[in-house]
Amino acid sequence: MKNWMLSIAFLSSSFVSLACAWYPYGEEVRFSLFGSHLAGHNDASPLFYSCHFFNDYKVDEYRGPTENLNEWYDYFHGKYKTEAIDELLYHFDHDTKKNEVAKNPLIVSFVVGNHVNAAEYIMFAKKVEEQLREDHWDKKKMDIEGLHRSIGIAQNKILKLQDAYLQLRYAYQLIVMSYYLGKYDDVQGYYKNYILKSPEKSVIKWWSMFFYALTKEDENKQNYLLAQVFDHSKSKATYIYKKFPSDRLKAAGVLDFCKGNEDKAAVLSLLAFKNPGRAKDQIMEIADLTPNSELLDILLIREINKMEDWYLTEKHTTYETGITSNYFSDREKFDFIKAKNFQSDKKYLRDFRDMVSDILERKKVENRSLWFTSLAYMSYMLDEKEATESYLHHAKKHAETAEIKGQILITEILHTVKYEDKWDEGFQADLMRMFYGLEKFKKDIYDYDRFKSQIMLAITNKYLEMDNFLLASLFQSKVKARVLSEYGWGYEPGYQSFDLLNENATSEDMDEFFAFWNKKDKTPLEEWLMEDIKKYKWRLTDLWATQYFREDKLDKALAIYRTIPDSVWQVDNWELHYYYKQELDNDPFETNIYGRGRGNESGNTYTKPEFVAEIIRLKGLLEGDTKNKDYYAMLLGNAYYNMSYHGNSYYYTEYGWSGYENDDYARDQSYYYTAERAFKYYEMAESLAVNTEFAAFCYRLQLKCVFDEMWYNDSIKNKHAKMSREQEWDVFAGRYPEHYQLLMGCDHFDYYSSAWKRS
Amino acid sequence: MIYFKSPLILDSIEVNMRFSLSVLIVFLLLNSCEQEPGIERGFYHWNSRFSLTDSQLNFLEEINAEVLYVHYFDVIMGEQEPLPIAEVKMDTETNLSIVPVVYITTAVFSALDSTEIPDFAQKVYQKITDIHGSRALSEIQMDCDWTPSVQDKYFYFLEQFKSIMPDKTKLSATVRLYQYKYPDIAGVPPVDRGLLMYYNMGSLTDYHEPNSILNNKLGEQYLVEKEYPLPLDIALPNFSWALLFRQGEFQQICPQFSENELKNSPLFVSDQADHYIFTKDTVMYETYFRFGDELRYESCSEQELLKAAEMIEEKIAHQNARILIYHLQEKTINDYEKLDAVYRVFE
Repeated sequence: MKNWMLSIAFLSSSFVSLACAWYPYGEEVRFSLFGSHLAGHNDASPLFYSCHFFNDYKVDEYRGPTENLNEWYDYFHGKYKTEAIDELLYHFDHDTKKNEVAKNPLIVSFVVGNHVNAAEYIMFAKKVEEQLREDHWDKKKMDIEGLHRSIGIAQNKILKLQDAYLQLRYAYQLIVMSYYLGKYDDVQGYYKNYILKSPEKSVIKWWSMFFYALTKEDENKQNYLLAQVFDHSKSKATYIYKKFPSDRLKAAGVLDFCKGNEDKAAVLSLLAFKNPGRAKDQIMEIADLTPNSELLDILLIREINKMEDWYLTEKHTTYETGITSNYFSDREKFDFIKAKNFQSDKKYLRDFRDMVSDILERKKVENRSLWFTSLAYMSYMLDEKEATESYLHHAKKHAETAEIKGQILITEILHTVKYEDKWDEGFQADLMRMFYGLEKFKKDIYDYDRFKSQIMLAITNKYLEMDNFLLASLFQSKVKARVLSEYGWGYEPGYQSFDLLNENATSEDMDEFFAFWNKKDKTPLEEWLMEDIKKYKWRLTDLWATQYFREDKLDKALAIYRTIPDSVWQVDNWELHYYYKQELDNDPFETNIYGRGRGNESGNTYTKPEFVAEIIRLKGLLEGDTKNKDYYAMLLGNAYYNMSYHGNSYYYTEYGWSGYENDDYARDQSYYYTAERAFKYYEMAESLAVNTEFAAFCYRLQLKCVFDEMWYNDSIKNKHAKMSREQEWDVFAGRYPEHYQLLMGCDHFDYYSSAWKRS
Repeated sequence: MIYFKSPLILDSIEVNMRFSLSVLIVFLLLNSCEQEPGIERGFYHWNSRFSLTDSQLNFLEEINAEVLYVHYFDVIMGEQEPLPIAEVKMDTETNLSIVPVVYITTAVFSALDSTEIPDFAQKVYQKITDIHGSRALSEIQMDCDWTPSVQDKYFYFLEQFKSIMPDKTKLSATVRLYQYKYPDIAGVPPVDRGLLMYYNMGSLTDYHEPNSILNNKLGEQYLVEKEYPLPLDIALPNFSWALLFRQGEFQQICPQFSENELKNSPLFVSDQADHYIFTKDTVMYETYFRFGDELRYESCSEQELLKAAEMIEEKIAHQNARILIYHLQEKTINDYEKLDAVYRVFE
């Protein structure tokens, strides 16, 4: 039922929300470590904060409203599980096969003659449900005659039955049937004669009031009554929420009906729930009226969840906006907006925290554990160490439920990691103890895996901020794929570490990482952190060597590459998240005339160690007393050029092609975006050239490096491109007047590239 | 409300109202006589209530609209079966010809097995006729942005649907621009007529898109001179909306904002044409807008609409075509001059 309600809610939203061009977004990435479920039972969950219209917390757990299921549970004196009651009341319909129905423990019990009256009522309610049902394609219409018969049966039952619990429910059925038959006078009559007079204390009375309210012509009166229903029953909350006026001005007439603080607080709460922005002042007003209402507690949590979303989602998930083609031109503007909003949100967070503290001091708040835990968590968000510790201390004193205890522990973990820079055994033992402790609350924390992963993400980011890529990568490996972050989407646990290191680590960081990897006396926490990344040993070793290669530290790179089994370079599947054989299939020494992606006319291929070894060999030849140095220099230029953004073999040093320089990378990428190293060797080749033709050709290759830089001059440092393209050609023409025209296009490249042979 | 859009008529009315009305009638008659035989003027109606005001009815009469394509319902894929949603409520009776339009999502055809399609077609037809009642039913239109993966099933559905319909009723289908340009790839729906949708051609979600509703530079690329295998009617846009972007990323469509509100409210600053930036955090229309959020207001100017009409008129065979405007709203009545000019391009 809830799924259906949600789908209707999405469809009828006043704004047409469309999927963004970039995925993931919204609820998928929303960061939240303060449990929405800490107040309000399952039926209230649509009111929890969400990027969407309604929250889908535990949406699939029960089909029916818990508030009714609990009453039936008590009615049967706990003899049947809530799940069985839920199944009978809300799962079975006219299409359900008989053998499935027969398995239900309640049905079995009914068959042997137990609870005859209850059985009759449930069958009656099912029949009414079917009589009211209308098919989407209008093949089945409401059974008006049947409903009239059922009204007679229900009236009869109310008179005959002695069971007030069932009498009330038959009366409710009368109201529902009469409402859908358009008999509003009857609805009002049944409500006054049966519902109000019933001695039962039941949610059914509020459900009856819901239909009674809808028969009222005065919209303000209707909304006033609906607000009362909203306050006492959450089953109709989504309908009431959608129907209710959106601001105070429009609700003024509703407030006129309110008789006391509770009435008024119910109306104000609805308005606060309808506020997708900052609701601090509304919450204060409600707290002044009813400091102990469940709605106020839900609103408190909802406000914290909002601030987590505004304040932490981008920080932790790095899913920032602006994934558009011309993003860079607007970056300055967006950064300014982002910074301003961040400061504004932080101020609001502080103001809200102080207000909550004030309410707790001034008012007799009963749910003190929730309020102190809220204060601790907000103080943690505000980086206020002493306040966090103080509020945690108070929260612990009052904590009774497992949910609150779990939330306190989560806050403690985050707080502890935030202020501890050491990685000693004592700290690790504390952390491990807390992680184990958290497992105890697995059942009490909704969507535990996602929740825990978000804690790991927060810890990862703490170490990223410290530039401690070793610990950041280890904790990142514990972020399960469902928690979406830059390194977490779509991968199994463990692999995210590779991405984090690839983007940030220098060769020194990688040395540190493998020193840790090879450490023999790891602590239990360290062993736990290593669990998921062990299977990526060769992939990470490749990264280690490749980082040295990127830094042009070739001997060290080669030594590490040589520890990797040859079979790795033959991998042609996703086992290591990389198709080594496919990617390393171009000739990296080929003169790259045509641009990216082309280039293996020679048919030569190299594994990474073979490639590095060949570069080292060529450099050795250049240093020695040998012929053809101009050619060797050109080959080295080609190798470095091909490893750049424009070359044919960027896969030797990068694991993907990127068209723009990523500012989030901590490691230097300039070698990839500029052809600086290639330029140096082409320059050398020109100076060593044995004839003018080859010298001109090597100059032309230098020009290619310069022009490539010009292409991306917005995002890279131009070292060589100091003049315009036309001016560069003029210089070329002045320097090699006989050759420049032939070398402007590609037609004579083959002739010129082999000019070194014509000494 | 009467619309006097010709300067000649406007002058006349200042002199003598009765005289001007006679002139108007003559003018309208002449105007209709001048039309190319077969060109019919019409509108789409895309609201859940078909409830036209007197002003709208007068407007339709004045502008010589002959047909209304009324959105009857959408079909989406439910958990187990296709579901009709957003069903229209027919509150107004009119003498204009009413063509029911049903929008079906591609998810429906992705989920349905071919064997289920005949029954589905029957249900859709039944629902249409239930809503349509005793009105004359000359045409039914199906609207589905079909893709290669669902093309076979959608076309099979159209065939089945046509076999259920009375012979005298025509079946038409909407054709998007890329489907028009690449019939060999997209296929040609097995219907009596196509309706070329010349709107929503740009990328709604692209921060740098100038106007996703009507972008003639883009549209021109699709308007190749060719003989499409179906006779085509043409639909042109006349609506507006604001699109919300947060730091360059599209968030949602905000149809509530008017151009007047955006231009005159101190809540916004504008750094480029049709872009309005929130100067502070604000809750409006039940949405939380942040400082720096941007609204891109998109509409259809007379100049661009005429340009579109002229390009289409030049490149697409339109004899016996219906020229439709998407879509009829309360404020459409203020656009008589613009829309009349658009229709005239084809006449």
